Amino acid sequence: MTIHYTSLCRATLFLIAQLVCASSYALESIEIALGDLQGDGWLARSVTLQIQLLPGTEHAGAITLESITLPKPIGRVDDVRIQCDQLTHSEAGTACTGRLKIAHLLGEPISGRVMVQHDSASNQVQLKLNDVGLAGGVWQIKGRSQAQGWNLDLAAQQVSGESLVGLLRRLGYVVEQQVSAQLNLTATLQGAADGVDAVRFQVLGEQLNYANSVGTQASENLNLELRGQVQRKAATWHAEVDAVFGAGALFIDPMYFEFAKASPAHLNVKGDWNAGTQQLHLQSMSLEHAGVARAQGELLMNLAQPNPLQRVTVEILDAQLPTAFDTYIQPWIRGQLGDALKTAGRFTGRYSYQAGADSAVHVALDKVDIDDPQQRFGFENLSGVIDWSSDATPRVSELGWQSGSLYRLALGPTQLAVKSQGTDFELREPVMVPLLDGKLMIDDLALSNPGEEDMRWRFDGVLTPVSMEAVCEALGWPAFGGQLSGMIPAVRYADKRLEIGGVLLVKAFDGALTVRNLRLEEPFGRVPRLNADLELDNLDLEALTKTFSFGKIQGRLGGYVKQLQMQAWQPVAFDARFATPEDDDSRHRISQKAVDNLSSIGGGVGGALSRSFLGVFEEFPYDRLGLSCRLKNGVCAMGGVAPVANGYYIVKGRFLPPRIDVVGYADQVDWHTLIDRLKSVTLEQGPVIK
Amino acid sequence: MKTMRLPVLVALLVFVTACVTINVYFPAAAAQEAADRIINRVYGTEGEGEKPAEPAAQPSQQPQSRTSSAVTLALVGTLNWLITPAEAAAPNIDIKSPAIQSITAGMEARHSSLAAYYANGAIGMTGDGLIVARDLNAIPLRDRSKVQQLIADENKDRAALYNEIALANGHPEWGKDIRATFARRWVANAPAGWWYQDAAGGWKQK
Repeated sequence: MTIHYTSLCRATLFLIAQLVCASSYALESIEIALGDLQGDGWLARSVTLQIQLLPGTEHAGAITLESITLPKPIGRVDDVRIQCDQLTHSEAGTACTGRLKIAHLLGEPISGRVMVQHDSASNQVQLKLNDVGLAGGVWQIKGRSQAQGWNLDLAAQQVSGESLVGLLRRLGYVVEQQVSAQLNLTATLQGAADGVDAVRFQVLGEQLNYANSVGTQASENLNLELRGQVQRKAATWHAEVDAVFGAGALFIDPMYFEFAKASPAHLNVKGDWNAGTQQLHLQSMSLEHAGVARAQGELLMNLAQPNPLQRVTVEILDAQLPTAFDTYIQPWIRGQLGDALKTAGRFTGRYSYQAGADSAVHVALDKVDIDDPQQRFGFENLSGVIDWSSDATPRVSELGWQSGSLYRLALGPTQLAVKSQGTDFELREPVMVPLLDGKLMIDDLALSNPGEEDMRWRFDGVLTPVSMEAVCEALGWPAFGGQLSGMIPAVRYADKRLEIGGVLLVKAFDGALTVRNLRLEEPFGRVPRLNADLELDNLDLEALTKTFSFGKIQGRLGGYVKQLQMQAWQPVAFDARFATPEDDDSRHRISQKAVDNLSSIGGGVGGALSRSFLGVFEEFPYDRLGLSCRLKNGVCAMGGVAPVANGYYIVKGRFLPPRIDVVGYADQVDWHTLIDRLKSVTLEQGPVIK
Repeated sequence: MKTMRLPVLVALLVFVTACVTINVYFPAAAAQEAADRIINRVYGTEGEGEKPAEPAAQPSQQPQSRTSSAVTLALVGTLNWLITPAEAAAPNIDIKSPAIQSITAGMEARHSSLAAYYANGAIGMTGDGLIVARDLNAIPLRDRSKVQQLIADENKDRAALYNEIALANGHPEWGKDIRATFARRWVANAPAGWWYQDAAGGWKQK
């Protein structure tokens, strides 16, 4: 027997109605084997109907199916039994209340309470399934179908995320993610014959663990509350979704979030999606991330365009540091200068972008501290406004800080105004930056393409005298007197190379040290390279040796370090010579300790001099002293003030007794060994020279 | 006329044979030894199956300098300047430049943060001497971003290292060969269980 009906439900109800009508013939029980039933897209095998007729309008009955094959994705359902404990039929309609039991639906056994009702007047079919076990949870399902359309209410408790994903996979959906979670969900769906028109949903997910196959999106023990509604009008879907992240961790490459009860994140999005034009318009997005940031924005995208982003605006109402930097900024500047900054303070801002037009940034800093862990730079109490746009209109940003540092040199309070036009930035007027106890007058400072490969900048300034004591203290050097000053008229940075024109002048030890042709490559890179020429003029050796506790030497010293090349702040090549100036007529004396130290540096036996009878002399006169070293490939080609057989004079004594000469014979000396010896001498007796 | 042609032919022949490509010899064995020295330092496995890194500084027997007193003739005592005389440059790959030392020190410091992820397969060694995150899911969520940053930093250092070794040895064109040497030696020196890319680009576990 084969009957064609549009739905199994209607077939059942029709049969029940016919049989209940037959009750007037006083039948007590009836069982009908309907055989196979077939409808549009479905096939039921071995359908059996059982009716028990009781007095009055209430009866009982059951319908069993060996199997029913439904359209994909559900497929074959085995061993279905609907037991109607109460079966009513009247003019108004037919109803069945009882139990549903399915041995095999999408790989799971299903059972629960069932209520099916047909209202004759409205031709409305209502279905209720209660306490149905599915995907590890308990479901309450209520559906209603009538001429105008249908609706479906779903409520489920303690659904297992894993089982739900399994169910979806069996339904034929491709779900590559690994998911485990405890879910409570409610949903209301409305629709008509052509599909779903509106959905309202609420999902409470606990202990949500999720990961995509490549690991770029994942969550750990996430508590998520998702509420929202989606409505369709013609081809446009309108959605409003509210998400609260209450606990756990979330990773969306490259960003990582940790949520706690005290610091939840609340995201609200309202928008439209038009499947026809492929346009996504999020009219409003708002984020409240407790203790981190508050922001809102708007987004327009067209996925049909090669460059989908059409328009975006983001308004940062409040961002708290360091959390906002660590969470939202740091992941995006990974590997760049400043990616490990320690920050404090707050800021607000606004960013806008329009495809084919301009983008603009406006940021207001409120007492922001930034600190580079590598101590290259830092600012405290940075406040002001950054105003920038990609358009041609010049903008002015104003910034100020209470204190700061550049390579550990302290900077004082400064206010500056920067003019910008596109990616070109320029100081609006000269600025005076207090530097240690002196001042750095910046006459001109300009920057192009910051952060790009072809970043360029230039700087013109004057350094008014800074005491060397302060410089030494800041840089951790042995303290010595004197002053640092200089005209720095042309500092240029281009092609990752910093060139300093002009002359840096260090006035110290009653003499002068000048630095010329200073060039620095990749100053912020892993291996900064420095080139320079240094000249020493008329230094007072007594002050110098006193500072480095070397043993007293009286006299003057001049010399040079030409073509100095440093890598990672280590010298690799230079041509250096330090010696008593030719025309020096000052008093020349060298102490016993200095002679000993000069010997010790060379690895000689310290104190040899004092153990001899010459030990009675505290100091010796000398004619000239000096050393030269030409460093190349880690080897220092040594020389002194004058040649002697097979060697050179390091100290050439006066003719009159007590005469002492220090003669060097090693002409090729390993640079590292020389440095180690120098360190050990100064380590024993005074500050370490680094 | 015939007598004129012979010299021309000879000249031509000489010219043609003179056009010889100049091959710069790449010291493969020395490069491998240098790579092993750096890699073992980075891996923290110095001294394991490795030749002594450098000959120990030998104190010279000969006095290199002395202080003398010309007038008294009495010997003050010879002050031996024991500064090691520089060794003649051996025909090998020099890895002592400050740039190389600085980069190697940075990589050595970073390695302790990465070692666990080499071992659990999160990070693999590529065929071109770099590293890559091959299974992010093997890295705890909290560290996933940081480890990716470390990988990026490591790769930047490795590229710079290969370049610096070529530069320090006066042959910038060796960069490619040095990279290839390192690519092999990173894998050869790695402990068992670490992942690497074979020539075809597939992943293999050592």
